[in-house]
Amino acid sequence: MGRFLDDTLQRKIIFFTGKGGVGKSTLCYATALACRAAGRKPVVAVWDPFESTPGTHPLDVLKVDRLRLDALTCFKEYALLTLKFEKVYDAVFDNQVLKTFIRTTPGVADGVIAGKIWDVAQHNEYDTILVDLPSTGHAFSFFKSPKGLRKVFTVGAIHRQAAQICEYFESDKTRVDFVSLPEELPLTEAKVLVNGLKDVMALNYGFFFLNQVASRFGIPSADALPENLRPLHALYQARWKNDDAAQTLAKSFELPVISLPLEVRGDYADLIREVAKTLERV
Amino acid sequence: MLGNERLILVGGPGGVGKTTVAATLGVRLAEQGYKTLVLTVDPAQRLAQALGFEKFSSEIQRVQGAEMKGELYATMLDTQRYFDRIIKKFAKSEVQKEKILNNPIYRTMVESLGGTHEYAAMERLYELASDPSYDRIVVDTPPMQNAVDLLKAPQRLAAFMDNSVLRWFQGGAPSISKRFFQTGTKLAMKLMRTLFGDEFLSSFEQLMTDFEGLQYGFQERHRAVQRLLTDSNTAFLLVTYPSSERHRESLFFRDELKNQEIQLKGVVLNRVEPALPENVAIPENKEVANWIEYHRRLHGMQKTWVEKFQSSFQDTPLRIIELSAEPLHCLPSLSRLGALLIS
Repeated sequence: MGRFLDDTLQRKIIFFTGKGGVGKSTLCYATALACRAAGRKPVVAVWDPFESTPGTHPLDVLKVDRLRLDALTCFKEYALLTLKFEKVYDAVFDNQVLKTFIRTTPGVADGVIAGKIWDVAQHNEYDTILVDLPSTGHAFSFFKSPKGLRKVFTVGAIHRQAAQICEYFESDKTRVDFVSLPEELPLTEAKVLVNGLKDVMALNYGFFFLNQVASRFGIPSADALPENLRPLHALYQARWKNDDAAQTLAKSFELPVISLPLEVRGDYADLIREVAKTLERV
Repeated sequence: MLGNERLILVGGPGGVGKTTVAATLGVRLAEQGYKTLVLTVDPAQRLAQALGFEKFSSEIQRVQGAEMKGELYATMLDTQRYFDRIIKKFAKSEVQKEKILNNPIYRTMVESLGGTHEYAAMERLYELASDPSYDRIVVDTPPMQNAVDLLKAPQRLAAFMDNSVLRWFQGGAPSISKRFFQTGTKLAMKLMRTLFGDEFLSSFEQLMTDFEGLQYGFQERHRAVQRLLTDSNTAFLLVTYPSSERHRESLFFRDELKNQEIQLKGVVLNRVEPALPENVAIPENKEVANWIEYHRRLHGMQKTWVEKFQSSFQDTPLRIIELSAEPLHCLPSLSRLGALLIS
């Protein structure tokens, strides 16, 4: 077992963060498979606005439990839990005013979702919660939300619980990993995250993933190749040069860097199985 | 793929090169003689340099190019500032404006908790689109997940500002015909009071009271933005990438656009691996053979997704932009790419 999995098995919550489209979901699911192979029960927590796409989820075949982080559902669960002894009717949650309030008051949606993740961590149903955090800006508002809520709600149940949530997210039970592609924008965002999240919360940083790094081949210079292969040769030279620059930048963040290969698969689930095998080793 | 639409929205999943595509369209349109503005949300520094300036700014900057018969301008969205501007614009009086801007909950909403960016983005877009001096406006929208929020933003804000919701917070008389709604509301109120505390709810009610009258402005703006987005003079381009995940997201986006009656004018598959040249001799060098095999597999896998896109978007023009070794470091390179999209 590599040190990635070894560390992961000692945590309860892992947050994967990075720009959209860098492979955070892939890493969440692959880590879930690796945890399961080690005998644990993982759950993947997602903000999935695409859930409404007709048909089944392409990753259902992996049989990994999925926790859908929807603000209204989380709020309802939270309210019912807090108000155990009171009878609360469904009509209350269908109330337009309440729905509008939860959806539109910024911070409330993030706050109840943070609360939901924390709540799942307090129970024993799952050993590891792998959270697929949305885009960079949202990651900041998410981690700001417990403290923000404490400021906004100066009394009440939320105020008390926000403190517990902060404490848990800052404890060694929680880890934050960063994911990037070897490209300018994702790396810039990753840098913003690595530098900025520290100021929001005292989070434990884990690993830095550089995803979709192209395989290397010791190919000779362009002159030694047939004429018609030269454009492709130029493309790969540019790609490898770019990968090298990204590696150098990633190392400057002073986190352990894990490179994952550029793999295109017809089947998304197969790709995840492959990444999971890599994650067991690194 | 594009007709003579004045407003071109470029959207798609994160990390597929939307901003670059938006910039190439802008360069190309300016070369064709149009006075063009490119509004970007999330620009790379390298792109700014390709357009000839150090970095993007929220001021409108002119791009200088020898080949341009028209003019090209570029600007970046600075969302933080815009929400205050919206309040200032719609406030009925100086007093109301000050009250809202100084309300602690309003400040927290805008500053520390975020999430108001989408409203601001739509407002800026509307403002620029209302400026008749531009012939063409190209807008690079935020990544898909946010873009859906973006498109829905005016609608949500209008819903929030809806009279019945506001009046409830403002303590006005609810209509008798909404008795069931009223019962639910009383319980909801009790629930919120328990969870959020009296103090918060009071400040929130205060903010809602201060918002009095503002809702008409927001609702009118919502209708105006909706008209703008669904106008036949507005085109939406989906920029995406041939893989299973991007395909799934693109289908979701296609349906979302349809729901909102926004016209999808074209699909751009970006960063597509080029095919191996025909009749490649199998090289003796083992490394070269492995490399060719690696590329053949990469290209082959992608091809199956290109084909899936072609069958999912049969009624929409689809263009493929291949990966190139040439960096997009100057206007001519952006123009060459743009020529693939606008002939």
